[in-house]
Amino acid sequence: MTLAVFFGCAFIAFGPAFALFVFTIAKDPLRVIILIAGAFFWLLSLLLSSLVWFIAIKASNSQDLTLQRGLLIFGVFFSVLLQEVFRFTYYRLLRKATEGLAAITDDDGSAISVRQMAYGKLCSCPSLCSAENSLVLLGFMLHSGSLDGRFDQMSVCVSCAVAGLGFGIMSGAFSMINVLSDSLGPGTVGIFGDSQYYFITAALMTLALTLLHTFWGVLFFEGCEKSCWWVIAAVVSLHLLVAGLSLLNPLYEGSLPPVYGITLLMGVWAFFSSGGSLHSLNALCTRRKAEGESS
Amino acid sequence: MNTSDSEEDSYNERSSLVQCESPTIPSYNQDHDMSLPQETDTKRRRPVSSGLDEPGPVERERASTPDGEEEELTLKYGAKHVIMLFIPVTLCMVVVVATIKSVSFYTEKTSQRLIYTPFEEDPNYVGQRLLYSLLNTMVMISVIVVMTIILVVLYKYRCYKFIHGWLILSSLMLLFWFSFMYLGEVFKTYNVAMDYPTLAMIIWNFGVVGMICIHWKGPLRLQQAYLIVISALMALIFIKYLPEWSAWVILGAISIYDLIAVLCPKGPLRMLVETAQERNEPIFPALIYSSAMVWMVGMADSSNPDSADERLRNEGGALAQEGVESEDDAAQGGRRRCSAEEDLEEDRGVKLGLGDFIFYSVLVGKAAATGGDWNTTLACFVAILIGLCLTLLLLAIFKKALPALPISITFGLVFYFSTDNLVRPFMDSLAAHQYYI
Repeated sequence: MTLAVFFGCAFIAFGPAFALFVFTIAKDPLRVIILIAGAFFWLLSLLLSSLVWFIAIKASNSQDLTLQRGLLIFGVFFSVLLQEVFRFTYYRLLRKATEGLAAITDDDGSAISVRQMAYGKLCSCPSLCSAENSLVLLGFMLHSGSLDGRFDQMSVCVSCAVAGLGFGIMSGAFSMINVLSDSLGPGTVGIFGDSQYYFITAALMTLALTLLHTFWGVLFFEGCEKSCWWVIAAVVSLHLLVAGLSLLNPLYEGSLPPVYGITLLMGVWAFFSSGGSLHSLNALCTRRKAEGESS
Repeated sequence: MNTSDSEEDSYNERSSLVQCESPTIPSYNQDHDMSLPQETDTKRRRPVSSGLDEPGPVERERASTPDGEEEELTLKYGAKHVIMLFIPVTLCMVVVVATIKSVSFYTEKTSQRLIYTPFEEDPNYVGQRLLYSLLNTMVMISVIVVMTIILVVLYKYRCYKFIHGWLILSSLMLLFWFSFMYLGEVFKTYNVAMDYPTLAMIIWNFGVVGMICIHWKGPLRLQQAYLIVISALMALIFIKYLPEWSAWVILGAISIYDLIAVLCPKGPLRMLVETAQERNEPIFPALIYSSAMVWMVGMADSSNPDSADERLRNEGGALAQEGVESEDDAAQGGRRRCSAEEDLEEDRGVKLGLGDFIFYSVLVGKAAATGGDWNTTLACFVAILIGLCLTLLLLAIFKKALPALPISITFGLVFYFSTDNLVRPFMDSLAAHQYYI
């Protein structure tokens, strides 16, 4: 217990997410905003699902333990579905913001800068309601990174990964933070006969879920962009599967290895779906080697 | 601890977001260093308005071109400025939460109360408790309103010296007395032995450097750090001395008051801002956190003495609430004048009133203090940041002074109560069985 377990579990659970944040997100303010908005949407989904669960609990017999457990399992699956709904909502919001921008910048007039046109259109359309205005502004802000003013597909891709990471970080934080703060204090794990490996498995599961949310974010957004509904269905069903596997705890052999297998699979799928290829991996490795040799 | 009346007077700040340009931007920015600590009186703080400055001076300078270009650059910097506000707000909250979780002094309930919340809450009688918390809120809000109106009147009749002295006294009290208290409690918590001469030297240096940085000149980062520390100290005092239910009702009431005071035509903060605009003076230089500084070489000296007074005045007033209205024309004129003189020009950055910092931190600190559940604290933190982001987006659309409290505090309150009552049992059950969603 205490500090060693605290730091070990904290680094396991949040290390990769923190590294992703530092190396890819921290430099760009827009991505930070997308990350926090993603966390907010996940929080909203959790709020609604806990409201439903709470009502169900209060309406039922609190002495019946099987019923309570059944309601909890129902709560788990309902929460998963609601998270996917909110992921879709967030996708629509990001899409609308960037679409608003694209609609304004549809012309090919290259002599005038995109932003000027956009501003001109904003000024000339007094009927544009403030909601659309705000979405256009949001779109501006989202794509201010792409300074050529064009609607950059790459930035949408990055946005989806960042949104997924936002979901993942919030999900991991909510699962893990109370556990971490308890691990700081004195105690004996599993003194009443529960598993001794509570902390480490919690940390590993949190890590897997964070990465999974990131990959699902990429795949989900890609699926929505290309209207591949089977991709979306696959993401939702895999999320349900992972949640279902966690129901096998504390039989950790039944939950952790399959979840990590799914994580790897999702990682590979997301990599290829967002445009990576074996060739680019190869190029990365050889470039690194060449740089290593030349230095 | 009962604060004296002088403390109470020291500030009455409200928060609001200010549209970026103020007529005397150059001097304003320069004087920026001198932000006053608003809260030397923990008891009451005048509402502080936060100003949101658009990143404008650079663009404005080149404003011989159509406005469209300015808008582009403005939008481009929009996200950057959101982050420039996220970081200090986060830091302030982190300091407050860390202190609350480690130093037990700020969560111990004593029989002492602020004189602004005279009714004592009795936990045994729910109805009476609710009534007393409402009465406490009414007392506190009316004191804030009266203070704001006094400030507006003082500003209108140009009693700059009075306000200046008031603000200096406030910051003295905050930088010396409250930091001494804080340090004492931290030493007690960690059982650190400290002798009085060393302590006196530490507090003396801390306080004097703080006064210089805030009221005069100093490195930007140091000034920002002092403002954050002051806001955190103030928030801690509020967390300690406000009764439980009263604190929540006060948070809600203050955000409603902020909304009214900034947006209504007869609102005190709005009047303050308009008066400052008419006189072409900078608004709230002292009680505002600014993320950047613009050095306008020629403008600084001549306007210094006046602007200092004006600033102090502005700050004293709840100006913070109103923030600055859009002062585009005056600002543009000012900037164009300055453009010739500028040698070193930076992004003007954004401004947020210290009252915003304080009330955000009070909300998150109370979430951390009651219950010990980290999920609630995290949820309130995210909610406040999203509220701030939305407010900044609205500011970019409407381009006038906006209150920064309502959206964030509403989100924060909603998330606090729902997370504490609904999400916490759900997550606890899930964690007990190790189910993951």
